[in-house]
Amino acid sequence: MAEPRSDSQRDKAGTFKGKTLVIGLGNPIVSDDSVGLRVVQQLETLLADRDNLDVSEDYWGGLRLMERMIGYDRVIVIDAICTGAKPGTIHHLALDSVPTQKSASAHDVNLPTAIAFGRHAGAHLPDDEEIRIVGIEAEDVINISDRCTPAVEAAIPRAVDAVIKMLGFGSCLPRHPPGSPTWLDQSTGHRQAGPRRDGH
Amino acid sequence: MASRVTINPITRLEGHGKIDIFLNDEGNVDRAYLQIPELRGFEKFAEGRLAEDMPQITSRICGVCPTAHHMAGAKTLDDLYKVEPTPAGKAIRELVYNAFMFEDHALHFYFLGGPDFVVGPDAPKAARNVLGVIGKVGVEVGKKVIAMRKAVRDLISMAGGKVIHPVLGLPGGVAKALKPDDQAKAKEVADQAVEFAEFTLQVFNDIVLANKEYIDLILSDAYTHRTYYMGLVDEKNKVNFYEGQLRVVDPDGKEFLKFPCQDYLKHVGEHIEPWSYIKFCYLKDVGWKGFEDGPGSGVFAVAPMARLNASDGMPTPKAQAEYERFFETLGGKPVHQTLATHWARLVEILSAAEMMQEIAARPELIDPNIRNIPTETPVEGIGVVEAPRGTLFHHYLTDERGVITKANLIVATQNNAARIAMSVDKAAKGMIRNGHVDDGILNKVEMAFRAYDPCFGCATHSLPGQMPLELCLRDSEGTILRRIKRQID
Repeated sequence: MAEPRSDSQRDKAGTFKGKTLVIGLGNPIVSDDSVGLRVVQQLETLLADRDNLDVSEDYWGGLRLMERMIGYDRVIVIDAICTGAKPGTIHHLALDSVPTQKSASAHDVNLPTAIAFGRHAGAHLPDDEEIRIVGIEAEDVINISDRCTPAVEAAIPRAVDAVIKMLGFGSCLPRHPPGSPTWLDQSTGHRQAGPRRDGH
Repeated sequence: MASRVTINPITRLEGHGKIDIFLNDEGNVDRAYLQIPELRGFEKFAEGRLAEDMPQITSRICGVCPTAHHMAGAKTLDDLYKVEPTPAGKAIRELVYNAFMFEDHALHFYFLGGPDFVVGPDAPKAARNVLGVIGKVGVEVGKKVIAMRKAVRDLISMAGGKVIHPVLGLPGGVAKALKPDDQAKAKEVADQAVEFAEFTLQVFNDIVLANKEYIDLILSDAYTHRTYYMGLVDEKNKVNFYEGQLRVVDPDGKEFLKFPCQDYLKHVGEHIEPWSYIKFCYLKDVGWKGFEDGPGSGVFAVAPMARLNASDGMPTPKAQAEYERFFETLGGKPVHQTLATHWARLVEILSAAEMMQEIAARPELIDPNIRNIPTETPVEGIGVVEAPRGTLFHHYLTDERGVITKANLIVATQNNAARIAMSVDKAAKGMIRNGHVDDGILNKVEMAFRAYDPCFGCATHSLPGQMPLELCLRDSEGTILRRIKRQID
């Protein structure tokens, strides 16, 4: 289902000109499954008022996710993932390289099928190359809880940074003197300068 | 001699449907088990929270039918605070609820259950998906489906307050009134929905019903169980998704029970098996006699086919005509063939769309008096709705401040769980003879549970995809002989 790469949304310097959606998926009351939502909640603040950029959340993959992508030229999906890696590991995935489809719903079609369906139906959807997935390795996706496990909680700032970098907005974040890199304090949700206090 | 069954509880890490089949010494199936992972800890999570938050909290349990939980929660709050919604509050809730049923059923037909029939049960697996449906019915159908889903979702968020999880339900009514413009929009979407439902039934008629092979498949013994059936009915015993009494008919179709949801504990028992997280519901009036058919066994079914069986008809004229055709074609009431659920679902799509039309025309829909304020001290509340996949009960106990001390939910899949287990077992027995396993077994089993569309505790979805299925064949000692995994495509 790969289509020829379209570079029409990028200028000569490679800067993306099209409309972008950053979407976190998850269930807010199922422990680590909520991590995608927590990441976009921080991104909403950091990326507020950007032109051509929407930050949103949803609870469904597959068809509904495809429908949310309609009208966008680029999408970054942030979600929990279970591959067996160390909890909190950040995975960068393309549409066709999701390593496991486990934990999926019996009530849905997979995303590649949904995207193909949308294109058949004439919907404006991003090219395959412009759909990128940030997966955060989860530890607990079975217990109802409004907290993530510590390892996954600690991964949230790294996932936020990963998305900011993917968007090419690194230089637009609050600036601090050299030697004081910024990081997100997970306990406050605020970006901090100076030495990290979260063990990373 | 059958081996002892010891199946380790599967975690979400390997959270797929898992089937264990135990063979006897002759190599025939002794028993097949379907494992369903389930989210844990909801009752504890609910304790200590405000009852009025339950429609929001419970709507997050299930990513598939948040609106069903939300509405069951709101109705349970009505019962908890002993307050009836105003006519406008009720009309808005019913509009949202029927729109949700319509959307969910349409999704099932075009994307999940339908492809097996529209494309054909013997078509290659790769073709049995929505793209195959488009290939057979035409590209226009894809555009129609996307446009219809968008229109219905916009209507739900207009009345429900939020796209993702509705927030309208409050004890005694709803949070937001509708305006005349909203009513005009609702009428427009309802008309479009009726047209879409009729188109969908036409597709089913032309492609499925016109093909004798498909009718034979629906009527095949493989997915037939003579059980009791349960569903909500109105005062005329017509199907109602939102309210009414629970009616149960026996395997001959005669009324066996009719009761308000507050009596559910008198009639619905939960049987526990060591190999399953899911508790198996049964009728206490009959008793648990194992995974057995017939009037002597308390096993019952819910969901579209059961609702049609448990009622005397549909509440709207066009759906009523389809209801009659359904039973005429399939040999009268009740219908016991599980695969007929796909057709029953379409009868309900039309009913939901016509109900949207009826509700959209009610003058009280735009009445600003949307809520009766509760004045009673809360103690206990029980509520019910018909979710797309069957009867859904909510039950809350609170202290005098309305803080939850105990919460119990019985979801549709639990009501259906015993019958699902029986279908899986029967499909396995039909496909395995003297140790020979037909490779088509996964498709057969998959078709059985697709018809029920069980909720596999998949409120969480993690990364998008289809649900993998794994089948383990074991000898009488429990040793794995063969493992078949469905390929993910």
